[in-house]
Amino acid sequence: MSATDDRAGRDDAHGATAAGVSAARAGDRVSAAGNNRTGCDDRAPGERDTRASGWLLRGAARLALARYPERGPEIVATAKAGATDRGAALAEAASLAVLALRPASTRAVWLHGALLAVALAGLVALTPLALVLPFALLALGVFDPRLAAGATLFWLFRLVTADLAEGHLARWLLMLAGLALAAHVTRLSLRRAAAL
Amino acid sequence: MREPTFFVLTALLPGPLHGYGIIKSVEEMSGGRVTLRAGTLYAALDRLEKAGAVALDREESEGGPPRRYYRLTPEGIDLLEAERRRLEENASLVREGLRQVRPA
Repeated sequence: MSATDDRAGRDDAHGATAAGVSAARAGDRVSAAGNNRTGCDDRAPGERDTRASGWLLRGAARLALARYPERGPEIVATAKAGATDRGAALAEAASLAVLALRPASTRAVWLHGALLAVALAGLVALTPLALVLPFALLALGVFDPRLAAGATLFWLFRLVTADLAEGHLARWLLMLAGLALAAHVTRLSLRRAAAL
Repeated sequence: MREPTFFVLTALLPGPLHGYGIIKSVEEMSGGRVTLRAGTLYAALDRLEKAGAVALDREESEGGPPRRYYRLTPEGIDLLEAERRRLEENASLVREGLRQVRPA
C-alpha cells in the first residue's frame, strides 16, 4: 500500500469515526429521553461511568470552543473521535480542559498572577492562616506559571509594604530570599510552558 | 524537545495530515506506546505554529467540522534534523558505555 493510500485510509477511518460519534450522540439523546424521573438510577455502573465521562467531555468541549472559537470545532471533533475509538472519554476531557485553561501568553500569566495575589491579600486580611497558601501556590506553580506568579507578586507586595522597624531586618531579608526563589520558580515554569 | 512534539513533527514528514491523522500516525509509529490526546496534540501544534515549524496546509469540510491539514515548514525540518543529531549523539554515548560494561 502506498503512503497516499494509507493516508486516504486514515481519512476514511476519520469519517467513519465521525459517523460513530454522531451515532453515539444520538444514542445519548435516546438514553436521556428514556431516563427515568423517579430519582431511582437503575443503570449499570459501567453505563453510569460512561454517561459521567460523556458529560465531562461535553463540558470540556464547551471550554475548548470558548477558548478557541476558530479551531474549537476541529479540536472537539478530534477529542470525540479519540474518545470513541479508545473509550477514553475521561482522559480526552481532561486534556481538553488543560488545553482550554492554559495561559495564552506571558502577559496573561502575570495578569492572572496579580489577580491571585490580590485575592490572597484579601484572605490574609481575614485570617493569618492564609499566609501558608502562597507556599502551596509556589509548589503547584512548577506546573502552572500563573500560580507561581501569584505567589511571587503576593510576596513582593508583602515585602514593599513590610515595616522595617528595628528587629525586623532579618524577617525582611528572609522574605527577600523567598521572593527571589518564587521569581526563579516562575521563570522556570514560564520557560517550561513555552518549551517545544 | 518534548516527546509528543518530536512525534508530531515526525508524523508530518511524509506529508500533510489532519489532527486525528497525526494521532493515528503517532500511535502506529510508536507501536501504540505513545497515545496523543487532543489537548496534547493541539497544544503542541500551537507551540510549533508559533515557532514557525508547522503551518496550515489546507482546510477541508465535508458537512462535519472543518478538517485542517498541517504541514512541516523548512524550519520544522531543521528542528527535527537538530533533534535527530542530538538523539544520535546521546545514543552513541550509551553504545560506548554499554560496550565497556558488556564487552562482546
